[in-house]
Amino acid sequence: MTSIEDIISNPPLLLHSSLSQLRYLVLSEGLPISEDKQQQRTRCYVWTVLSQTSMETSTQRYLALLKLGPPSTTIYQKIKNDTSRTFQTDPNFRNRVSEDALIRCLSCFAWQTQQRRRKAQFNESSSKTTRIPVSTYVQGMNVLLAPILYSCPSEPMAYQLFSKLCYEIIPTYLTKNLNGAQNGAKLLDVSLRIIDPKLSKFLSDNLLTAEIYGMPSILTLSSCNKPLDQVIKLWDFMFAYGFHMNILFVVAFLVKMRSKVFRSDSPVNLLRQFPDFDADEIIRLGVGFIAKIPAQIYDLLVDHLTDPDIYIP
Amino acid sequence: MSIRPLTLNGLDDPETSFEELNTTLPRFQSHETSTLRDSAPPLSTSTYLPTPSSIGTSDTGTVFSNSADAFWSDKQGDNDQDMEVEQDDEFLNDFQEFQNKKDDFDDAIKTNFHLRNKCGSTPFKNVDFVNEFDKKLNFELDKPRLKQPRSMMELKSRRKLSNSVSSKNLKGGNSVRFKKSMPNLALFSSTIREEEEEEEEGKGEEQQEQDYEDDDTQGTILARFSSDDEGGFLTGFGELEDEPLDQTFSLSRGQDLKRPPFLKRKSASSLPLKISPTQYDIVKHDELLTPGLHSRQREWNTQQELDSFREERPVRRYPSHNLQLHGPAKIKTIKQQIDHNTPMKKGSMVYNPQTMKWEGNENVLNKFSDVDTANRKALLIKNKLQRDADDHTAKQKRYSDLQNSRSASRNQKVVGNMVLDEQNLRWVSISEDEADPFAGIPEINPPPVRTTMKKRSSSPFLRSQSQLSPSPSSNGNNGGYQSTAAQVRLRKYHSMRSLNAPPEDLALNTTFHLSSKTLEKFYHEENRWNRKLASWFIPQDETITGVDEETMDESTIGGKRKSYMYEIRNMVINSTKD
Repeated sequence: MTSIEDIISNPPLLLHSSLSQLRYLVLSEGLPISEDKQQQRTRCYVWTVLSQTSMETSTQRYLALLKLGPPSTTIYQKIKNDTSRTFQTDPNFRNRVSEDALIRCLSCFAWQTQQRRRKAQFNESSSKTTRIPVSTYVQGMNVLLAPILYSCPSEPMAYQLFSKLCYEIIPTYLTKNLNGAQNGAKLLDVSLRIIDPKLSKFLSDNLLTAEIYGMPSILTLSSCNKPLDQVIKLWDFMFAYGFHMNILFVVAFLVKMRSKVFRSDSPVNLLRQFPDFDADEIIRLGVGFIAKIPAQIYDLLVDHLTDPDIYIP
Repeated sequence: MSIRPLTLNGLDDPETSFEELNTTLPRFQSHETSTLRDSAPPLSTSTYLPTPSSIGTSDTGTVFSNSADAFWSDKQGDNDQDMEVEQDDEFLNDFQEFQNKKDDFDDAIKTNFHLRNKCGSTPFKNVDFVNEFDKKLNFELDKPRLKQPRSMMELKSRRKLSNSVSSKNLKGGNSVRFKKSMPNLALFSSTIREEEEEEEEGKGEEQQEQDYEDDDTQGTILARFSSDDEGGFLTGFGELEDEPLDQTFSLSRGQDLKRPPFLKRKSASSLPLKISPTQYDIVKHDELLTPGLHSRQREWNTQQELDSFREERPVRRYPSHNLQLHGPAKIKTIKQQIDHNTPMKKGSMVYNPQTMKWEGNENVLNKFSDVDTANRKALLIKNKLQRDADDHTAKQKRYSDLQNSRSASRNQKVVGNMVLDEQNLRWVSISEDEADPFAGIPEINPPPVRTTMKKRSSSPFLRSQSQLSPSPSSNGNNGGYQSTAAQVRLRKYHSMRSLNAPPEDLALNTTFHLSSKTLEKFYHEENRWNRKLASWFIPQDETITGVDEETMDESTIGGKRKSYMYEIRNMVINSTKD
């Protein structure tokens, strides 16, 4: 832990190696879950470093977007409808994150998305990633934003991380038809079939596809599961080694509860909400699954976050 | 105004006593009448009552001023005629009541004088005095001298001075000294009193007689104010007791009530004055007047007696046998009548005794009704400028597009030849026919700008910003060329304000308006981050860090970015291989 802070505090000699070192420390030591403000900052700093998200002028940008006020009424109504329900039952989250903060960040994201679209029209040479039509708002963004706001000391930094996540890390998840998330569901099916054929067969026999039981966790990068602090730890790992790991983590969720699923009369209801989990256990399981995942499937896992046009067998 | 100190200190504190005189005396001329009665004693008593005489003189001074007032107003009719007319009628009415009982009063005076003669140190021709007195009484009845009653408010110190002067003029040379001394006595020093004393003592009745003629009015007043009204007075007095002014009266009344024996003595001594009473009126007047009361106290002397009076105060009803006592009492009654029953008029204001309110300026409230309709403009501007603006409204509308930006300065209606258009909050030239630079440009009011207008007006924060940004009306007037430019500018200056906010969302104001403290925290956190982590990003390609950057080289950056996602796989594969 202190070593993580040391690494962060010192300028990296070689950025790549320093980042690798930091990742490994996050995996091996982990970041503590704490109410401490300084710990919260450390987590945010680690996230920004791992995701290479600069906070320079973040406040200025955020306020510039905030000046635009709420987005169009339809978007704003959608946002408000979801923010009012975001982690309603989590007192810790409610204490630390106000609904107004959620609304502000999501509104700013809607504005920025519109600006990016406008720019994209005049800039055909823009990269593939930036051409992905990220929605101004889709349901689930609120849940994606929640852990970030929860972990960041200030709104502009959270927004900067959030926009980084949405525009560059998982842009395909946030398109209008949720291409990336659907591909993720397919990859979940594939991965589960590879990792736990028996469970996969059982679910498919019960007409349970990954789009039914896996979509919430995929779309929200597992942040829809409880408890939030464990979600944060999952995110620590995913910021370090990639959010494609989320698919394998969902497999881990399923494998962890496979015995219950088999015994359940109504696996649909059982899978509607995953039980409380321990992040370290899920991470261990998920990382362990990597060995079983063929390279090409792993490539698909990596690519499905940023490439909406992948083909999944 | 505390009566107590006055009574105790007497003339030692001239200013205070004078003030009291002003307030109490001017209002009721009845005082004068009462003073007339009382005035007799000091003159006569001066011989055997040294202190009282001095007091008496001071009193006379005040009294005289009042009486002089009466004369003055009659002859010149200069001051406050509106007020006086009404009050005059009232006063006359009051006096009419007394007139019927004038006989009693005269008798009483006569008796007093007789008594005085018996006891009196100085020989008087009672009969002559009485006759003269009667004549004068009759004489004065015809004269409308009582008109003068004035509200306490009106009377001012200067006036007394003027009055005193007038009184000098009115009265003969003999009395001149006397009258001169009177105001001085009341106002200032005891030395003056002494002079008066000397005058009184030395010149005695002769002067008084001469004075008597001048003081006819007072005499009549005295006659009219017989003790008859005691009952009414007393009752009214009871009502008055609650009021602060009443305290003075209560004191005086108590003294009066107790006085009777005392007064009798004095009256007896002063009997020779019977003719003189009018002359003495001056003196007695003073005593009867509120100041007179104080002086009387001294005369009667002395705190012991006063204290005794105080104790006995509760007994209000006193035998009416002492006419002199009634004088002050009447003053009170008159006052009461004015306060409670008599509509009073002051300028354009009329006092309604039933509602106990001053009426007549209701139209002033109309201004406030207009205020409600003027939500959008600064209230001060509206009220202030209404008058001026009315004249120039037409012009202002013609030049509605002029000089919008200056609307910020709100304090002045007219500066130079510029007038503030209260409706549009801008300055317009008073002079004719300035060319309208915006004549050919149609007015376009972009809705977003309008919303900001509303919000700005409602929020102090935004208002402060309003000077930085072009005024809303100017944006609208400038029209097409700048609708976007204006928005940009407004966005710039209105930190948290939304241009496109649907007007119905007032709650947005709170959501999208961050406190300065929050903003401070934002910057603080960013700076903190910069201090600690900037080094991790220095070598970084801007395309990666900048969210808005579109010029991303996918082949290099994409590869870089995804490489880390294989690190975990490499680790796992390597570990499993091992």
